[in-house]
Amino acid sequence: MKCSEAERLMDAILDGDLNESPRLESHMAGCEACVRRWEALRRTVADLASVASPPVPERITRSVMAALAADTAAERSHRVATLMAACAMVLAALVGIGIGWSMGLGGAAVTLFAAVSEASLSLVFDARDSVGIGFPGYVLLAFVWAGVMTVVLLGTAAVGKLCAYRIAARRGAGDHESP
Amino acid sequence: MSARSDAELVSGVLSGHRECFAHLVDRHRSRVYSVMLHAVGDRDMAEDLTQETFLKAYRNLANYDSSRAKFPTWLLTIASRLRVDAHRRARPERSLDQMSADQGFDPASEERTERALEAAAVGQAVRAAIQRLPERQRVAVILKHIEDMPFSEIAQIMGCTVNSAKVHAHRGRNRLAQLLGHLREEELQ
Ligand SMILES: [Zn+2]
Repeated sequence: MKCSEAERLMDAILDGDLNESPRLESHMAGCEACVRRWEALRRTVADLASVASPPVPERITRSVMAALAADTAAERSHRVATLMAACAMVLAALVGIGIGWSMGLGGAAVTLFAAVSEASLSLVFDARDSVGIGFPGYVLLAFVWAGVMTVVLLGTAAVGKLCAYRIAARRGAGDHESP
Repeated sequence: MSARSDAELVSGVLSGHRECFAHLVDRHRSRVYSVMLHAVGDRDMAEDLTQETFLKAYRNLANYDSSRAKFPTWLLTIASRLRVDAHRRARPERSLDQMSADQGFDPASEERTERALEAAAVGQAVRAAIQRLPERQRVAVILKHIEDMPFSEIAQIMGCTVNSAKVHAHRGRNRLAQLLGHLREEELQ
């Protein structure tokens, strides 16, 4: 048997695949190099087995559970913030629709507003995730955004109304009297 | 409570009982920490990585499949990836004095028996030698000869075949034998 095969047998024994090998023993009876190698490997494995397991810090469980609790709290405030922002949007939409309606803009304005506020809603939701702002900042942003959208709508409505008045006035000038 | 199996505790966590996870951490923290400490050689880093391992495990718990791996094996797979990432980020010089102190080995203490001193010295030499092994050899040797795990699980943790896990362990053992002075360099192929 060659020394390389003896080494393979040593590895198999140290790996736990083989209990003993008479062939290895008979090889080692005539090969001093393999005897030295075998002794060295066995001492190495024994040294490794004798390395004490380090005492684990008890606080690991506590700190893991605390970190998980913090995660959950953040998630909850995230959900509350989303809900509040959605409420702000709906409120702004209702106010806008109410004012638009009272100014006599009717169905077209309502549809436009619904579309714009829905688009802005999703924009704000995206902003929250990408900017990573905190809870108060998020609610503030949602309200500001809803306010801006309301002003934009009212501005559009006012311009529309003004145009309507002008047209009516021009017609009034031509027809002398309109109901 | 502690008699419940890992799989039962995992389904407990998944059905909303977060406290079940504390039992899993209590049960497995010692092995994760031990592997981490031997692998990175730094107590604070090992503790951070152990904590990160459990947090990552919690977030990915729904992906754990008990028919494919034992829970500690799965944990050590996560730990192994985290450690490789951390290793890429930075490799600080380890303090072996600090490690010795951690483990209650204080060479200055007169109360130590000769035997304990000798064991401490061997332990320190072995830990120092492990740190000098290449990454994969180090992991294979730690899991096989310190943690006493079967190669089937070591291969799962290392993400390789059983044969290649064995090759890493063989090379690591040979190199350690040389580093520990049990084998002269010229006797090593
Ligand atoms: Zn030989």
